[in-house]
Amino acid sequence: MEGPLAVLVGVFFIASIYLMMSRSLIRLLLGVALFGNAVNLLIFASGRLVREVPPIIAQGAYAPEGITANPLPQALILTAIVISFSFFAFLLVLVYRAYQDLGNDNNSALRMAEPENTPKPVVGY
Amino acid sequence: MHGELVGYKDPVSWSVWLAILPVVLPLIISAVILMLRNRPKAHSVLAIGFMILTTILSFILLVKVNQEGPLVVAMGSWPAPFGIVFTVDSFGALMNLFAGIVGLAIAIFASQQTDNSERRFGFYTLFMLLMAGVQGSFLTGDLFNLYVWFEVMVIASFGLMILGGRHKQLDGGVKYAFLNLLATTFFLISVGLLYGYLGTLNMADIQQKLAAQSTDGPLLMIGVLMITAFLMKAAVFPLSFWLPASYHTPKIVVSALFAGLLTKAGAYALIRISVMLMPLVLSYMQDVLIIAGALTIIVGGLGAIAHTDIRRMSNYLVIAGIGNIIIGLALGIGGGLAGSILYAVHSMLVMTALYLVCGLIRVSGGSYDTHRVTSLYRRDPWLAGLFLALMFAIAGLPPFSGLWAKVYIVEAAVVSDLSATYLTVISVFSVLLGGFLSLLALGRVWIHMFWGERLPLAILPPPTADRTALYYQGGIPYMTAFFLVALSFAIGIFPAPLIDSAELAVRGLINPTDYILNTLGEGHH
Repeated sequence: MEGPLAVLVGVFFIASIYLMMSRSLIRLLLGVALFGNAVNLLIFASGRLVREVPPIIAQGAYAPEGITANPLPQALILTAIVISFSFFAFLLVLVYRAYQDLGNDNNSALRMAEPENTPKPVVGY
Repeated sequence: MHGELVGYKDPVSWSVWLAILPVVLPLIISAVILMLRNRPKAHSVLAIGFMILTTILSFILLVKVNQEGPLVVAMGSWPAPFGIVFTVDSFGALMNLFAGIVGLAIAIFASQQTDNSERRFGFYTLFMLLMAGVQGSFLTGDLFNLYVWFEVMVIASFGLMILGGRHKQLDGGVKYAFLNLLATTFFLISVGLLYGYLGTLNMADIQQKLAAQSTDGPLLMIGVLMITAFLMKAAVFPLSFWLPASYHTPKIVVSALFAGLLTKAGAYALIRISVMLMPLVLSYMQDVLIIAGALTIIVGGLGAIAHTDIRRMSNYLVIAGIGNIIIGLALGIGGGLAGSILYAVHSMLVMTALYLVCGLIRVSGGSYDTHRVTSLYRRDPWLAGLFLALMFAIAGLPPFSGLWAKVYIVEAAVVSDLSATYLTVISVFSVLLGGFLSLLALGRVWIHMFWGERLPLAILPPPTADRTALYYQGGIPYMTAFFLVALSFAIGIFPAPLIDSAELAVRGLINPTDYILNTLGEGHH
């Protein structure tokens, strides 16, 4: 079962990296959103996939009998989802604000912080 | 796992609180400051008070850890490796102490440089959250928890980066945010893969499981990915372009905070992961790291020379400093690693001081541009003295702290057996050339801004009276920058305590027996 999921994760990574290489900030954002989901699926797959057996320990036993679902990746993914969602929300607002103020969503035209025609350093003293 | 699974039944001792208070205090105080939105005057007082407390606690923590070995806190008494633990060893405690000192300096400087509206928009809240993130990543003993602290730090830094919302900040913020998010996500990918490979996230447990392995298997791929993520966080060439695009855009006190702490947190994680957990990957990557470190130093130094805006010049000096840390790390277990840790501490102090002094130059001279400011020496001799001392400190000249770090790194390069002679030559040459290039860049600033009479561009009007008043209250900003430079001087004159501490940290990283024993308990070793 991990095999098909690994392929899916790969497709997600390919698509997100393709989008992130774009100059348009909107595409970058979409790429980041996909990238986060690819990572979530990756963590899910790395916890191993089994049939839906809840990890409940029988009374009087110290360990569950047989193979059960791994609960830890779900906790990790939940944390990662919250973080990537909040980052995405922040980036969305930041990009929208940048688009409003700078009138541009082309990445290579954003040169306010590093203007191209800065004065050259003085050569002699 | 044999026998019964028993939690730590004993009541937790007071020392446990010591390990977690440097993180808990900033978190609490950030929430309190958020609630005091309408009392902006109280923000700085609270922040300074709690940073003093945090720094004192961090100092006690360092002394205790150096004497008694790693200190472990199991959250909710869930025993490792099942629960999240904080494991504080000498290395973490040392970095934590200096993060506290830098944070204190920033809190004091910011009390004079932030106005009420910035405070209401959450300057101190975000600053305290950032401190919690930085100190949490220095103290944690769990890989996923390290990721979470990195994210706390990064999201707080996003807020600080765009606080004020000027166009330059939005532009710098977009680049900073996307690339840092990418770096931390790469780290998360490698954490997920490592979990899939080993089935654990506790660092002590990972160390044991990896050390017991006879083959490198998928470890190389995972390790290289993780190290690359931290190289990006630490701004190592060619993954450094986010730093010069953004660090000069926010308020100068925010730049100083970032320069002091953020890249160094990346360097900390890099050293922790590569030396303690994956020495095999480190030895495979030795050549790459030495060459990347050398390029980082040279690109940083040349970039610093190419700029006339002293903030942008400082961006490149931060990058050049990181190169020294990387070379020290790559040279490994000889003196190199101790030099690397010494340099990280030195860099925290002087890079913060550098941006603070840039801010003072802006106030005293009216501009950040070397073309527009001249003869500052006459107007502000104290600032001139401060800058001169800082110039020596950054270039690694005696009697400042950078000297000892560079001595260790160069000595390690000469004595260690590297796979090829040219690696030794590159290491020594780039570390020495880096000092020369930073001296050249800063020396030119000194000549143009403090000495010179020449003014190629129009002179700006002198700083307005109100802004001057904001900065000059009682000379506190000067004292703050002076305090950091004086600390660097003190370390340069009496380096023994810091060197001992760094060597203790190195021993703990290379042979983490106590770290594992204290984290996992007797039964596992």
